[in-house]
Amino acid sequence: MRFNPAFLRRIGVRVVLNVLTLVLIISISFAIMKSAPGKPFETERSPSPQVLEELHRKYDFTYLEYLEGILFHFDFRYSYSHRNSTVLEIISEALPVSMELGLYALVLAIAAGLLWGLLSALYRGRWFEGFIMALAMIGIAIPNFVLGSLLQLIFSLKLHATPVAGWSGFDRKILPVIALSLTYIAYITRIGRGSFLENLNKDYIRTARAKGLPEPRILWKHLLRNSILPVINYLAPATASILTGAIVVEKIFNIPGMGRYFIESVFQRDFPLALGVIIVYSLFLLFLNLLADIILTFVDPRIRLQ
Amino acid sequence: MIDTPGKASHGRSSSPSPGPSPGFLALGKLVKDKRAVGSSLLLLLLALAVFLGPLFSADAEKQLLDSQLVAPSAAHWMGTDHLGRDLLARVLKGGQLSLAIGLIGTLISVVIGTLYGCISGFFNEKLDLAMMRVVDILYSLPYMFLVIILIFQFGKNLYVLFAALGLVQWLTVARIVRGQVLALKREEFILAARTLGVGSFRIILRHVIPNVMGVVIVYATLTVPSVILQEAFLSFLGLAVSNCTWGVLIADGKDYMDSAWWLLLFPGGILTLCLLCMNFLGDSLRDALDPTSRLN
Repeated sequence: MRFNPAFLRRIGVRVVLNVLTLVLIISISFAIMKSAPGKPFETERSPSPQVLEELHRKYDFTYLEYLEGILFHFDFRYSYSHRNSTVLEIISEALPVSMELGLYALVLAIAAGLLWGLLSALYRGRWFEGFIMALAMIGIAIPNFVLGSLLQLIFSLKLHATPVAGWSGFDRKILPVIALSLTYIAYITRIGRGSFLENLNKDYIRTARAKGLPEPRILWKHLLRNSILPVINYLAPATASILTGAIVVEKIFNIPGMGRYFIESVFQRDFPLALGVIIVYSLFLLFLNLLADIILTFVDPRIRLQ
Repeated sequence: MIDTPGKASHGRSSSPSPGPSPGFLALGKLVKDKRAVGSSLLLLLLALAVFLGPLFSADAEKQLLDSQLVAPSAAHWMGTDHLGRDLLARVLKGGQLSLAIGLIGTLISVVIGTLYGCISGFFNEKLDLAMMRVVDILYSLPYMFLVIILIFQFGKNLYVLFAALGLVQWLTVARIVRGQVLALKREEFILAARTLGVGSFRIILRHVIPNVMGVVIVYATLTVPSVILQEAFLSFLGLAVSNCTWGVLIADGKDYMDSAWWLLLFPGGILTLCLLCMNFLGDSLRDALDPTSRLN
């Protein structure tokens, strides 16, 4: 029933808009990157014309060529700084690492955030609520690069509890995931608390209690289901922001993910790689926004289509 | 500035007793809010220290070759860095830049966002739809990545930084203001002004903008810390506009943290404290100015 024509048409419009947005993103990034003076093959000792021509044929491209390559052949060209690797090869190695980091951080943020939010709503007015909310304020305020460095200092360098950096093995993943997710744990705690408090006073909860339903069942089946909308609404912006945060966390913990490659490629003027990372991230974000929109219509039947 | 929402009642000034203005009530609430008062005082202290402190502290760039990486002591309250520079002096100097960037960046985004939101909300629906679509599309840009390549390519100077950060932040202001304006333009005092023959732009300037200022101020107080955070983030990545910002100090401190913890802890702590106070203040201001706020 929810797949009515209006719904499908709206999704169709969104998809078209997303493709246009992607073209806009490529154009802006391309313009910025090309605007810098100098070309990658201009050195003091110029290579011979044939070599130069070969280089240009492999590495150089115009805006239209690039756009056509991306949109119709999914061709991201060769990286300038990684010898003989295509951008796609590098990204296909880095993307799973970043996805894993981001996914763990997001799952931890949702689970911990909902738990703390629920506890603070249930303990309304007691010192425990104040304690959680104070922690949440600090969690929101502390920048992830400060937190990441501090965690590394305390747990790796002073206590020797975890390895300093890297991504292989469970113990190396603990600190980066915590460093990345704390801000979002704090935000979801606050959003969840507000939503839980609002719903706890509603009639259907009183009815459920009056019926004598066990409390865990009320919380799980009735309260959570109705309170989770604001949290779901927050997930798309949170994921976008987690991706940005991953840039510094990957840098601090030396994790071979997209963010680290992005920073490296920008500083080394590896133009195709930087563009490639931006495009893949944008694709991911656009897809995610679309998905969030669809999920919302399923979770909340009240959201009808315009 | 806080009493601007009270302007909704102008034209009634001849009526016998208008009662306390909403702005005055909000101020009363704010003064009673311990969090707000505490964080305002701390921020005031921080601002004083940052802008007046350098007059009394050591030179931020002076290298003491015989005292490198010295732990905090009476002579160097926050210790010294690997080049023998006094960390307190550097934190204060970096703070000047951070606070200034936060305030100016916010001002830019608020001005652009308010004007855009007013124009979008006030005139006809087609214009509104088009202008908001633009905002929607700009919202979905991976802006931090664009800001990074923008700053790298166009040089690390303040103007580029302001342009880059301002371009991002105005979007939310525009959305909020537009929502307010949509509700506002149906109010009777706007209709009255129109009936009197006041032009659209004059209505926007004299009647609409003063009435959205309350919301804008609340949002602006929450934007300042976010701009400061973004500047620190960029500095930490090596895209600083100066060699002495909080982000640079934290990045340097991270490199030496094993042997000199103070280099990380003090700049990081001050930055966090500053952001914490600003967030508190913004939250309190929102609670005070929003009559429908359920909190409190």
